[in-house]
Amino acid sequence: MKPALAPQDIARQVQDARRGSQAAYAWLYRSFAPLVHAIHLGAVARARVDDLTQETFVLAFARLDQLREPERFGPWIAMIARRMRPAATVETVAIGDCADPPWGGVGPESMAQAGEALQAIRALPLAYRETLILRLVEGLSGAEIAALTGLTPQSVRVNLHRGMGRLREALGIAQRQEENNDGG
Amino acid sequence: MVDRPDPLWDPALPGDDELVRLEALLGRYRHVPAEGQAWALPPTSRAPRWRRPALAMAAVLVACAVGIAAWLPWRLQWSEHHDWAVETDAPALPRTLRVGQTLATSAGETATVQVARIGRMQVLPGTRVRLVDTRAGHHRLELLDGRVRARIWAPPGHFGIAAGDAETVDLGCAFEMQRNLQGEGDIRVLSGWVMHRVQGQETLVPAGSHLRFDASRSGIPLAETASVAFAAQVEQLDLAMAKGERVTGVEAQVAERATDDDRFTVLTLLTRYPALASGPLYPRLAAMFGETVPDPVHRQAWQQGSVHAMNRWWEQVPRPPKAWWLNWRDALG
Repeated sequence: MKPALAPQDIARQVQDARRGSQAAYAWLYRSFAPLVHAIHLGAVARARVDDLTQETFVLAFARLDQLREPERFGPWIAMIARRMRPAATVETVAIGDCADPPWGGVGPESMAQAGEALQAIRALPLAYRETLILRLVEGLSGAEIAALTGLTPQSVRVNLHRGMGRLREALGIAQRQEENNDGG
Repeated sequence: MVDRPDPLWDPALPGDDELVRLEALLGRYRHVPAEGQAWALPPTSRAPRWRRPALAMAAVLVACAVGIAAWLPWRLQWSEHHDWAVETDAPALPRTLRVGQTLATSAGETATVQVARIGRMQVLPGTRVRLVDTRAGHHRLELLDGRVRARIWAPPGHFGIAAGDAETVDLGCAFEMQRNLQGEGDIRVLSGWVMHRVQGQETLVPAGSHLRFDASRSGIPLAETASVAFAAQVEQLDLAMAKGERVTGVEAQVAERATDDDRFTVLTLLTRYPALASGPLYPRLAAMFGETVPDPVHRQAWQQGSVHAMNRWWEQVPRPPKAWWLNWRDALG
């Protein structure tokens, strides 16, 4: 498991970025882009996610002087990202309707399953939605999610397990597993 | 308690088939960092943190300046012959004072008159005042007899009190004035300056000084700290000089008794009677202005009544009469 970001490292990079360090901007972008991407992916059509992610960083970097606790860059930029697209107007454009295919070289069945899973996650409460996308889409560990979001590890663990339970229910996975077990 | 392996927490651990399948499906949406991203953002596009209080202060100062710029003309503006307001507990006294009207307080009665918008004047018991004229920039009362206290914040000359042939002109100040039926009285200046003018003779009185006058002339301003003996000798010298008599013994006594607080008194004496510069008062005044070795050319010019020579010391007097705005506290009274 990769080590999670340390608060003092985040704070130092924020301070360097405030002084105009390109390396610090790049570090912050590289480290927190999965978080911002996950928030937008949980709220809008994929075609707009990359642009919104980019716009979020532009906005955040322009306002970097307003960040009072540099070590809490993650929760701060997450708030900026959420405010860029109010939760009440979550877009429900199907993945298959997007101008760009979600990925190339896979069959339509796999595309449909991915779209179904993402829609099911988007229907979950915000806390579960973002945590699950960070885990299942971005491939981050619980510890990394906690470091990025500023949540406690306990909260992340709870969100992961409850969110996963809700997702399995939504996708009928629990039922399928029981049927498989009965059949075995 | 032993932690069970948790593949949901740690992706490095093997998960169940459904978890692996979801990871594989959804992992294709994963964020791909933009390569060569340059964040050419101007980090100083916002004001630096240290500069923000300064900007806020500047904004406050600008707002204050705009407010004062609007308030001051309003304060000085006044319609011609518009009545003044009178505040008093005495039921017999009027609540306004119009041009030509006399306000008379009996023993035990007081009133406060709003001097247009530029200040207030307290009319003490046993006083009669008459409003002579009022308009923007020119407000004149006559003190027939009694005592008044005025606190004015306005440019020089806006407010004046007539007393017989004399006139006391406010130069932006707070002062107290009393006059009896014979035309004798005095003025005590609490802040700023007052000018007393009678029969062409003008006498400036600074804060912390008082001036006695009668119907035909004004005396020499004296510091409130001046001794009775010094005041008597100054009056004796003033009256003698007014008759064209030199009293060298008194000149010497005045020069000897004068303290630094009496500088303005000696300056007024020498200005009113330039011939006194030939006597002991000139070197005493020179010492008060820090000139331990008197300048004979300057002294000679003074004796001849040179305004230029007199201005050399008058200009060293702190807070000249024209700097009326520095007495801003009088605006609050």
